[in-house]
Amino acid sequence: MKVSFYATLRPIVGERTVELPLPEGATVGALVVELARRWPALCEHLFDDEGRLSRRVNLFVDGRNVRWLQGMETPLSPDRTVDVFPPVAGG
Amino acid sequence: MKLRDFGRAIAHVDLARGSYEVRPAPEDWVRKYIGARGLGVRYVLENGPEVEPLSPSNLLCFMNGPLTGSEVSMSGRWACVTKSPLTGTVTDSHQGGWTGARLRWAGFDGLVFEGAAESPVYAYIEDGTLSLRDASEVWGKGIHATVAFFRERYGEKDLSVTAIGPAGENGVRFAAWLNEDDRAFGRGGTGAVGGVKRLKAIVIRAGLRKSDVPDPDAWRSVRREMLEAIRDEANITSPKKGGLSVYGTNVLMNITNSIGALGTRNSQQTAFGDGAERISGEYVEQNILVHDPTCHACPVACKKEVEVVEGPWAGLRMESVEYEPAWSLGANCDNDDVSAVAKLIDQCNDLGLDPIELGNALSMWMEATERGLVPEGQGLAWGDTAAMVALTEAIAVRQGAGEVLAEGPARAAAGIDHPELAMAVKGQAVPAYDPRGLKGMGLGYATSNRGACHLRAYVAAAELGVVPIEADPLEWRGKGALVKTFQDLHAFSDSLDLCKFSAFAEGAEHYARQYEVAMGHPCSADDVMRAGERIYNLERYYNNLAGFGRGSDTLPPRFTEEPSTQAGSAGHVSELAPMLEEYYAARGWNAGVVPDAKLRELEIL
Repeated sequence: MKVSFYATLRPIVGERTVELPLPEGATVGALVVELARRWPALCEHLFDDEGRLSRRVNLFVDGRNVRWLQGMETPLSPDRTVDVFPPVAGG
Repeated sequence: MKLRDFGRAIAHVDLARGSYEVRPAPEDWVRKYIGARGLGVRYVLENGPEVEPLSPSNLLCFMNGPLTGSEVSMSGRWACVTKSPLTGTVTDSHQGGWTGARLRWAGFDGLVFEGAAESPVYAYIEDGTLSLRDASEVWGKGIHATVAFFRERYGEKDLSVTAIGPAGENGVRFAAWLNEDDRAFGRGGTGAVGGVKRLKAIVIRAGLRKSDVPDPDAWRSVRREMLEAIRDEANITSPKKGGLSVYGTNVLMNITNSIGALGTRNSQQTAFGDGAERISGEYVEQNILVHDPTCHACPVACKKEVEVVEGPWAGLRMESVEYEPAWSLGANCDNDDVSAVAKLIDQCNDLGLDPIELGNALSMWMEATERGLVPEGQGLAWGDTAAMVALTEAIAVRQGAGEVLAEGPARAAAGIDHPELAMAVKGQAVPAYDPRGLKGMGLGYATSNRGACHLRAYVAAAELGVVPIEADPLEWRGKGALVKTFQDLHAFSDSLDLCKFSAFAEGAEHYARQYEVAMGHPCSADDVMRAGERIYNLERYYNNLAGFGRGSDTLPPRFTEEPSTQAGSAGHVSELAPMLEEYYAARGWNAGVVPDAKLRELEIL
């Protein structure tokens, strides 16, 4: 599946969009673990001190923040779009 | 510079007589309305809400806040307050850079311009004195040439110039003031009020002055604490690390696109596809960024100076490609050429135009053209950047279709009998957050006292997950109270006057501490919220007296009736009616009207 990175997370990954193989039935939780394995520098953004999804990352599946879906349990499939942002705002 | 003396040096300038008098603001006003936005609104109310905005009788206030020009972070802001020629409401707009700070250092807390000069003048301010001088040599010139003229005359050292351009001189209803750093009093048409008064510029010479406070140790401590909060790597303000610092405000382009909250083609769509990336902060940073300018006392440096490298505008160096104009002149006009976006923003900076209003005027005209509603020979095609540049010039001098669009998109759309094509509230065009994908922002637009505005209640900070408040952007329930809280908090910070972005690192308690230490009298977080609520109600009271009553808090039907078709917000409209019910209940208002009991409770009456 395609995963896109934005703002300060993009230089860590080095690309705008990467293609990641995910097994059938994978969840956001599995994706996050895979991201941390491939790019260890992402860990501090992805996880809080208790190992939960950090507020320093906003992960969207088909345009919805997983916080408003099923969090780490949100199901993924190859046809879904995943966007990974740090917190961003402005005026 | 005794901060606790704030409010004692307000220059009342009689432009018709060519004289001025320094008078203190009433102590009661300073206590209740703090400064900048709040104090300016109080002066404008005193002048009477029935005044015709484009007449000499309208008051034009430039107000510092008690923290403007001090050493606390993000204190380089001041407010321009008047009755808006665009909306007929009271309006305030805030400018960054160093101009407000220099006014403070020159010995003034605010300027209140009354009447109109017989011929063009500028105000020259230095060392506690003000003089009105002949501006005939710069009348008709663009803002960049005007700044260059005064720099040549007075030298660059310690000099600030804020000026109107041809748009203000010609009464364009969304004309702006800009300074030497291209920072704008952007919204509400304050530049047109300057034009009517024949006030071309305010020129200030003043070097840095240190703050004198009752408790210097506490002052150092509170400044350090605020600076640490802003620098915290967890915050988007963190210098060179946070998204706002690295990419500027345009870091928003991709996220609003992803969630279906990026108005496109006059908000007919809610996302711009791959076009968003090509006008985004990430693209700018990678391809055309040359410098990160900042404002007085700000470590964030969110401004983004660019140099166009290709195309018809190659070589143009300008600041700043912000999110709002990149949206209004980009996605909303179906334009994915970042070079053209930079050119159009630079034009606004020189002609003295609000780029949010301009972009909405152009996108409305494009949709009207597509629907066959525009007179032959005056049409504008989607994404035709050369024609956009030409029409922008025409708007500033009111020629051809520019004459119609100079009235702003709301009046222009009404003029072709299709008011529904203007994406505006109370006559002011919407900013870059589509209310179908960010429900709280839509409520904020509808209930803003100055017409559609993203900054009165920047609940996007919660809806986008920047501040630790749970707020699903697609959920309408709970947004009434949330919008009220944000509006009140920001009314206070706008009155201090601190940059809105301070709220990404600070809250009511932080604002209270800074105010308390600066002014030398107690202030709590509750006091901050109550003063903010008072200021918000004062503005609403003004608007009610000016004729804005029941039914004034609306959104264009496109947002409430035409569902989004893009991912993230597909199927959604703005549920404005139930949100308004919640909001009015939280405010204690009767359908948008402030009852006398509320005015008395807040000590306004």
